[in-house]
Amino acid sequence: MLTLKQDHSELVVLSVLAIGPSYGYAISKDIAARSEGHFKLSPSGMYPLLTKLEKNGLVTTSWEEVKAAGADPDSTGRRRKWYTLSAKGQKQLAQSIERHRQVQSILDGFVSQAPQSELANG
Amino acid sequence: MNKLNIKSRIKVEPSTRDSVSTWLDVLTGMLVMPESQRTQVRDELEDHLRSRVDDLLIMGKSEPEAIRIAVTELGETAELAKLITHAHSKTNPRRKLMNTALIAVALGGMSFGGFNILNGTNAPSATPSNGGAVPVVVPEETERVVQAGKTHTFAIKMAPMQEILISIADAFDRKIVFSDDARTGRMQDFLAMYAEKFQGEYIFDEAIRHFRKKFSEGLYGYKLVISEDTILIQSADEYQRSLVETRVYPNPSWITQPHEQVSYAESLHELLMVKFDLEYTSIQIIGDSIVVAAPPNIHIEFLQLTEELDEVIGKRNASMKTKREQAKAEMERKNAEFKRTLEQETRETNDARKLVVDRIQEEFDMVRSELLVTNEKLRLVENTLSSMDVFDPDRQSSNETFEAQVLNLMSAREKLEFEHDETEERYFYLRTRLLESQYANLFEGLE
Repeated sequence: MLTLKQDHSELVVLSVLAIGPSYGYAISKDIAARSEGHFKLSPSGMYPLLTKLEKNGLVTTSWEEVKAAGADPDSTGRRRKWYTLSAKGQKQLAQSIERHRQVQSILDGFVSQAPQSELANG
Repeated sequence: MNKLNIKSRIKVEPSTRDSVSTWLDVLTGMLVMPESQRTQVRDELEDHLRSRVDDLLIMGKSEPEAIRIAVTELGETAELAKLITHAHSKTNPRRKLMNTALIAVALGGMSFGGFNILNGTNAPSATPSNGGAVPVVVPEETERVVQAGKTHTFAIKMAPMQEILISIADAFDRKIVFSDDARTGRMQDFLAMYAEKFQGEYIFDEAIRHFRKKFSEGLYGYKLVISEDTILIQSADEYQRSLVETRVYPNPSWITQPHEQVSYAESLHELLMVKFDLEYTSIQIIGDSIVVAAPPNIHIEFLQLTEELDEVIGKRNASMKTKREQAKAEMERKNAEFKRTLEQETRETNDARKLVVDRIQEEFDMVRSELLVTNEKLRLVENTLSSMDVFDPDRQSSNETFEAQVLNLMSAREKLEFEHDETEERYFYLRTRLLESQYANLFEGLE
């Protein structure tokens, strides 16, 4: 299990939201599922990050009332906070992806030239 | 504060559904932010917890187990509260703009309501010369280290938190006291939930430190505040209140009017409200000082804000001073120019008037001479005429010649009389003009 670093967390969360609006718990499940369990974004990392994204205008938010399965239809449900990627967020994501690709290709340049067998043996 | 000794050892099994709410109560109690934001954070985390619990139930976990896992996954409560508070309170560019806008409003002299203004006459005073803030009341350090004393050996294999705490209290002869928040927040239920072993030989403060470390999660951010005979269990909020310090700040040097002081204190209050829930903070104007009662972090923020505000106002005052000086210099230059022009015009007017008066005087003198000459001529003709006796028997010349002479003289007299009248009329006219001009000069001088 790899714990996401802050820079990566933002890229990952924005990428998840690029597919469609989502909420906290669903985002964390989505990250775990899409990384086949390799990535984990803890709630103490995710919620402050979502707050930051909201404050910087990268996401917009809305509230929905949800009820547990089998709950009394007349009872008051709990409130769910939905996050949607804003136009600014989309732009930021595009820039982050571009930056990520540049870094990746530079790193690939180093990695491809390193003698694999010696590393493996060392 | 109500004292409650839990030595009665009444075990209350918490309802699982309630423990989610209670955990949320504890967490939100630790959030330092406005009430509306706190409610939103609570709602969001509740959704997360309940969604996770539902998933775990589907996976076959029991409800208490599911809740325990879900809560544990959220991480250490106090840490989570701290991270969320920090994310909400971070100053972003928009907030910075808002601060500036509020400062601008404050400068405009607008009044914000909602806090006390005292007009104490014997109020403490602080001045820039005595170095700024003067601490008036500094509460004792509540988390102080208790002096080393007797030791006690604990050999508890596995027991709930509450039993371990009772053992520590018993061993060191202290009472356990629950604060109001701890009672209403059902801290007793939580103390019964977590179990651990507790072994070793400790002095009192070591035992407490060890207990805090072992149950950092189970304490849900609650504090153990140690005093000579009690172990007080207190919420973070209550702890914050107990940290409140009163400090006296001087007015900045640029404040000269009472309304400016009020506006200054109010804008600082307003700026702090943007970032903090100021429920347990007060800002008051007492005498020439601003008295702030708040926890240390708010004092730090207050000082930063005063610096920010002073900088903005300093710049504004400097720019206004330059503008005022420029305007003053311009005004002085214009005044001098105007004065010069006026003097020039006055001089010219006086010269012109003098010229006119001189001309009248000259003409007047001439007319007066003419009048004197005409008078003399007229007198001569009158005398000649009167000396000629028309009826003189000894007269040498013939009657005809004599008559002609008389007629000539009479004609000359008539002419001279006419001339005299004309000259006299001019003489009076010019005399009046001359007097008028001289009076005009006189009045000018008086004005």
